[in-house]
This record gives sequence, structure tokens and C-alpha cells, in this order.
Amino acid sequence: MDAVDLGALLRQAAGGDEQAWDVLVGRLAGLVWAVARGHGLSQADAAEISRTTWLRLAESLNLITDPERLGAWLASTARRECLRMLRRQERCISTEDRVDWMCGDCGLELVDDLANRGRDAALWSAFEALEPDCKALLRVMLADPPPSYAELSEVFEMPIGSIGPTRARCLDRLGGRTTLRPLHPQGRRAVASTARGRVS
Amino acid sequence: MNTDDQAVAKASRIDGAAVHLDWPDAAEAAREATFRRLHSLVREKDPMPADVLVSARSSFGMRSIDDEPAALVYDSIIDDDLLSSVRSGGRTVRQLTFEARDLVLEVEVSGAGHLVGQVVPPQATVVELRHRGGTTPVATDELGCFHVPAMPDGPVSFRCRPTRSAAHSVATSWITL
Repeated sequence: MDAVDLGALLRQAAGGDEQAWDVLVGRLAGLVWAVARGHGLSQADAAEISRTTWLRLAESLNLITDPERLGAWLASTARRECLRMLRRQERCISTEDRVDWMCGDCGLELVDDLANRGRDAALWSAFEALEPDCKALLRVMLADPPPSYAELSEVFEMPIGSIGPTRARCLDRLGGRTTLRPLHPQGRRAVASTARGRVS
Repeated sequence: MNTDDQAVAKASRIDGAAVHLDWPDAAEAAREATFRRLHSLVREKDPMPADVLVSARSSFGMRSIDDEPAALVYDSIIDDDLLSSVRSGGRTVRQLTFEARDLVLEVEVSGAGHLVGQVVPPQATVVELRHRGGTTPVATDELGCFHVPAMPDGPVSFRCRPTRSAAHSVATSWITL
């Protein structure tokens, strides 16, 4: 993302220029949305996270001195708010429609899906069923425009050098029959038999 | 080998691509193909709703330029470990502390959306509850205590006009309670 451009937009917005603000929002709203959805929040909850995050930026415009870190600042703020919301929902008795990746049979369903349903549908349910850390990282990397590795490193608090290998490991979990790892013991038999088939 | 396993084994032998995936370059190519498919799936199945963009834009009008910011310094939902919430009987009260230079705001919100708060140092003043629908003034008693029976949905911020001390109002950061 163009840092010089962002710096000018930040200064203009801090000075009261609403058009500059709108351009900033247009550039980075997708990233904030991806963070919230990547954490398994429902659409309604993701909308709340987005609103809170942008309100935070509006009140902090003068405090952000390094425009190159704006994307990371927004994504980190959104991520912290997601964790708050997930904690709060854990405490509530009435759970909402979020976190479909927590279901116990997802791994089994994944294997069935690959055999029985369309390729994209299977990929999508495998993505939905990914472990939370993988899903969050991939969903944020799929934001439009995508964040840089430096931004990802800051948001997910991991070294830049770990991002590529983690991404590869997460994608391998989605890669279809030949690269499937068992997600839980019930799914292991079908995957193990595939592996045996390959060496025979 | 049972019938299922035989079928899988046969399919794997026929499927030459499966064998090639053992090569690093092919594995890499498969990953990137998966990523590209996911990218188009995300666009199709999880687009950002238009009202999210509208809402983000409208945040600009909610700025409080002249207020002194009060930072969130404690939130029991994040800062307490799970054990301490068990020890306290699994209560569902969430406690938060916002701090500005000369003023502290403590709030407790129950799972039912009932909020009690206190302005420190204690004083009779007015706390403005800012939310999506506008601003709701809430009076504190002489001990600085106030009470909101039903919290609005969505992010909120508290703005306080100290009647005795500071020249500026104090506004807390926005938070979803």
C-alpha cells in the first residue's frame, strides 16, 4: 500500500477533511472486515467490530505518527476487539450463530464433502472448519487489498519469517485428498487409507 | 485392505497429479491454486456488506476533537485470567476502568446489559453516554455513582463534564460492551 499517500490522507483527515477519511475507509475497510470474519464472528458481530474500530481510529487520528503502520494499527485494534467479544460470548449462556468451526464432526464432514460435493463447496466448508488460527490468518490474507507481511507480523504477533510457512501449512490442510491431515481421530481412517494407497 | 481402501488406492494410482504433489514445486503450485480459489470464494460468499462501509464512514462525524481522551486501562474480560473468574463464582459482571489525567471512570456491566459506574474523584456531574442513536445524559450522585438500566447495542463511549475541576471534557475510547 502506498505509504506516502496514506500519510497525506491521514493528515488531511486529522485536519477535518471528510473526503480523505472516506478514501482511507475505502482502502482499509476490507481489512478490518476480514479480521472480524476471520475470527469466526457472525456478520452482525463483525459489523460491530468494524464500527468500533473505525470510531477508535477517528478519535486517534492525531496519535498515529507512522502512516505505514495504519493498516497494522487498524487490524490489531479489530483483533483485540474480536478477542473481547469472543470472551464475552463464551461467558454468555445463549450462544449466537458464530464459530461454526467449533463443531466436533467438521473433520469427518470435510472428508465426506471432498467425495460427495462440488469442489468449491468442499473447499469452502474445509475453510470454515479450519482451526481458528489458520482461518484467521488466511481470511486476513484474503482481504482486498491484502495486507503486507510486515502488517501480518504485527497483527498476529509472529515473526515475518513464520508467516510463509504457517500460510503453507494452513493451505495444505485445504489442499484436497493428497495433502489432507486428519483434523480429529474420526477423520483419520479415511486419510490414512489414502496415504497407504499412494505408496502401494 | 477393505473395499473402501482398495477403491481409494486405485483412485490414487490413476490420479497422476497426486503423485506429482510430492514434489515441492507441485505442492507449492497446488497451494497457490487453493489460495486463488479461496480468494474468489471469499468474494462470493463473504463480501463486506454495504452498511459496514457506510457505518465506517460515518464514524468521522463522531469525533470529539476537544475532549481529553480517557484510555481503557483495565477490562476484566481480557485482563482477568479464567481462574479468577471461577473463584469469584463465575459471575458475569464485566468491569472496566478508563483513565484520563485527572479523572477515572469505573464501570460494571452485567450480562443483562445493566450498567453501574462511578466517576473518581467523586462528584455530582453528568455523564454522557454516546452511542449509535446519539447521546444520553446520565446524572451522577454526590459520590459520582451513576446507573444505566439498559445499555444500547453497539459501541459506546462515555463523556464526562467535570463540574468542578478540568477545563476540558473527558471522553473514553469507544468499546462494545
